Amino acid sequence: MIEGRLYQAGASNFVPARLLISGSDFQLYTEGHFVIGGSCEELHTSHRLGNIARKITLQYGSVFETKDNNAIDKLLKPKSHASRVMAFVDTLEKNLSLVILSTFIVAGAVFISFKWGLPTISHAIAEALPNSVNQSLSSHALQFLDKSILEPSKLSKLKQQDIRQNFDHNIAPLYQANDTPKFTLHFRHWPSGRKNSIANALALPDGNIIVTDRLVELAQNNNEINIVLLHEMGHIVERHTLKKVIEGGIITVASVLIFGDMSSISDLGVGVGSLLISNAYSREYESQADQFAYQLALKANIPPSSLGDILTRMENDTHDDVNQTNKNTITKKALDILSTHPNREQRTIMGKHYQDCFDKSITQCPLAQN
Amino acid sequence: MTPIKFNGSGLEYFKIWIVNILLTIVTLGLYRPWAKVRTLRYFYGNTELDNSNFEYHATGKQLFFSFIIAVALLVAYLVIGQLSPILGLILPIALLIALPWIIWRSMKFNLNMSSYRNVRFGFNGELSGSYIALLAYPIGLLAVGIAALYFVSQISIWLALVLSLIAYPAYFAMISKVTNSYVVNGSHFGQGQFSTNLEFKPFFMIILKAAGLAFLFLLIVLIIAFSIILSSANSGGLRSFFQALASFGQSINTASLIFGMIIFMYGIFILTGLYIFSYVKAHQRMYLLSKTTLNKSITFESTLTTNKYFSVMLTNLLLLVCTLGLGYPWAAVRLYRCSIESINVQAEEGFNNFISKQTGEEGPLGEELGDAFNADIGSLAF
Repeated sequence: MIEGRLYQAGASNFVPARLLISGSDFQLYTEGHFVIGGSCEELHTSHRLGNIARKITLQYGSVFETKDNNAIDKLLKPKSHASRVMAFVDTLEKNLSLVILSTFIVAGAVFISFKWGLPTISHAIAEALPNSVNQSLSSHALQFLDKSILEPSKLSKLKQQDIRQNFDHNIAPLYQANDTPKFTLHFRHWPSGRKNSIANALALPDGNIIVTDRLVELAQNNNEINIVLLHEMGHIVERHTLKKVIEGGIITVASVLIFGDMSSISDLGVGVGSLLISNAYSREYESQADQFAYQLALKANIPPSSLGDILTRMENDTHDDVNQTNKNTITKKALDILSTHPNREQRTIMGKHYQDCFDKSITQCPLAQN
Repeated sequence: MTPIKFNGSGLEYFKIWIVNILLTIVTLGLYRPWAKVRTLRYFYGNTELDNSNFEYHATGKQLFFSFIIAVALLVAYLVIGQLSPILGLILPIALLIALPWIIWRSMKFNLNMSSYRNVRFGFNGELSGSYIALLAYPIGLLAVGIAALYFVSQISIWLALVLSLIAYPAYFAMISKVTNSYVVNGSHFGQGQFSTNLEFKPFFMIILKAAGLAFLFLLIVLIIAFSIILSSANSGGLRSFFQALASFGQSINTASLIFGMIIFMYGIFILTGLYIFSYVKAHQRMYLLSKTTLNKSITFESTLTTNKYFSVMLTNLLLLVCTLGLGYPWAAVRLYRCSIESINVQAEEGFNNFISKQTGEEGPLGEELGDAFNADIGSLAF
């Protein structure tokens, strides 16, 4: 005997009712009077969810509603495939140890997919796409940069020609592959509010590499410029921009799918989280580009330590007021998480590894996995 | 007056939530519609008024097809936006034009899938009304405002500045009034129509006061910051203050000083923003519910206060941060409870004489698109 209420189809008034189930038949009583009866096959029972009221829809749209969930589950076995699946979901939800296990599985799955899954997938997609897609990412990008932040170079024509010829003849040919865009070197002045302009190098997916005047000024020899150019070539060859775009898209879609119902409260958290994640990937890409540069530097007889030298000088040039040696460790770690570049120690270790190979005149220098 | 009650609990919702996420991951996202249905059924089913609960009727199967279309469109939107700069500019505009339709369809579907005491809610507002409230008004007002400011600035820059200080709250007040009127007047419960007669002035006063509060807060913060700078300038400079504040150790440098400063300012802005948001929310809702009737006889009242809403939002934020998001179900239940339990309903004649109205069955496409593109009516007071 299940106590509940009986509603007429689509109406809001109800009468107290009792549902009696015997075998595969049911009988419904209101105020002691028999109302309707029949086979349980005709009843449509809503899926169980926590302890919210259950609803049994009768043949003509009348509804019997009850909070006696346990009696319903005991007496009315789920009929369809779908209801059995939902009954299984309900047992999952009720079982505390399964819930705790799920929590760990979810946390683990999220961690694994960010750490390995997403980079692997975006790598696979990026490599599978034709080069035209990759290049279309940067169509008009150079014109845009020229109109917005960059100015024509103030370097002498002679100096530009010297670097460009060296690049075209000795550096760009170091990497040969069918689908690689043609590498083209551009010199630009990147003004900043301070005394010195900005020292930087940029790589666009279509093969354009931009070097700023200040970087050329800071370089003490051509090796330093060349190894920076190799680093930028690494970004292009490994399709890092395309991979970043794919990762951003996947993160957006996945967060809609998984955390869709959280969006209203935690947009903030998701925003900060994806910033940190994308920065972590950026650091990974910088390391990859470093590695690419080091390997080709060994072939071209450029000392790998040149990269570290010029990067240190660039860093000091932008933060010349920061006292690096006294840097506090907590702040450093915090800044490290926010940074898009690998910290100097990690870079130095890799640089040293390749420098050792260079000193021993070994051109193949595999990096030990750590 | 009968209060609405919520019988759910954070732990119970946590179990549903984590199983939802697990199954969504295992099925590579395909379980999402069923997850959504379970969540909504849980919240509706545990919401109780006068010993009867609300109910959500959509099924995962019903949502699935539209869900797939919505996700496919979201992916296409992201991909095309990246690959073509021109389409990248056109697509957001296209989305903006589609938005009133998406929201209209979404409201129709959602209300139609909701019931109380076996009687369905519904939405019978016109599509044109959605375009007027959500597109024509915001763009029209913006255009008029900018034009007016332009002409005034020809006469006097200061007058234009004062005018823009009033125009900004007036704009938001007008949008709130128009969207809330449209939504409430378009909703019905069975044959009973919701109706409200909202005026511009109360909305304007609320937002004006909120703006004043925000201004006051930031002024106080600035004064405090300045006096600290001044006092620490006397006793060894700004650095020593932040050194003491963050207790970072003997040596502190510019980078960490800036870092501490950013965190500090970020915190202040979040607190101010939350408080202002709570103020607007609580007051708009109080006004809106007091002016709303159902079937000309049932009335409502809101007991939500700024401080209560603010404290729930703030503790929720801390909860989410401290649990790295795992505390979300508790946060969601607390916010929902605080929000729904502050609604009182006065129904002298009870709810006995309502009958579901036959309405056209609107598909869930709008609802799913709204989910995927994160579209909802932000300024809504409910």
